[in-house]
Amino acid sequence: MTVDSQPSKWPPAAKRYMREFPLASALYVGVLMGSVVILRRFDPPLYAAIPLALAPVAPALLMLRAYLRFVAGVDEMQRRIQHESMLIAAAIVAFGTFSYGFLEGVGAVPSIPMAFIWVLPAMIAVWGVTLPFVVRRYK
Amino acid sequence: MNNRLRILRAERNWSQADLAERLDVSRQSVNAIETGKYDPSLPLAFKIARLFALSIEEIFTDDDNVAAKAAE
Repeated sequence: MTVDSQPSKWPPAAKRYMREFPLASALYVGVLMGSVVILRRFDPPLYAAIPLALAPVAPALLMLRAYLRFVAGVDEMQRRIQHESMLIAAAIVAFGTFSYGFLEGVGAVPSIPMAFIWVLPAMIAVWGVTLPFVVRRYK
Repeated sequence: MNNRLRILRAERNWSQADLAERLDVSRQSVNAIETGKYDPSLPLAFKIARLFALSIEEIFTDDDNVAAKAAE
């Protein structure tokens, strides 16, 4: 007979995620570094620079796939936690960038070069903060 | 929503982990249902009811229902 304090075993979805996500992340880092090195060293023409610049998106999509497979494989409450924390993170980043844009318009804040590239990392970072808060609500 | 899950589980001498395994959910979900932090979906409520051979209403009680009965 198991006791309540025993840590629960990792569900298969989590095990798969812990296998797939680091692999996709490592691939992303490798492709990103390769892409940056080639673009800087060879300064290719635009027709070659476009696929090279977009190359890191492919392994990043594999990271998304790993996460979506994880969410699809966990139980309904865990899935709700993921949905709620992601929705709150998306709302914070959306309204944060929206407000920043208005402030940028009146010159109250500096313009961020290549601002769009920071939206995805910002969502992941904010989600890292919202997730433990949502988890606590269901404890 | 209130429920008698903790009592029913204790009657059978099951841990939260045991019940979680029988329901194919996480132990955290069983705990959240027992403490009223999470209301299960209808399919999961039926699964719980089947496991204990009871009707859903015998396990889960709607707050409004409790208030209505108290007012009678």
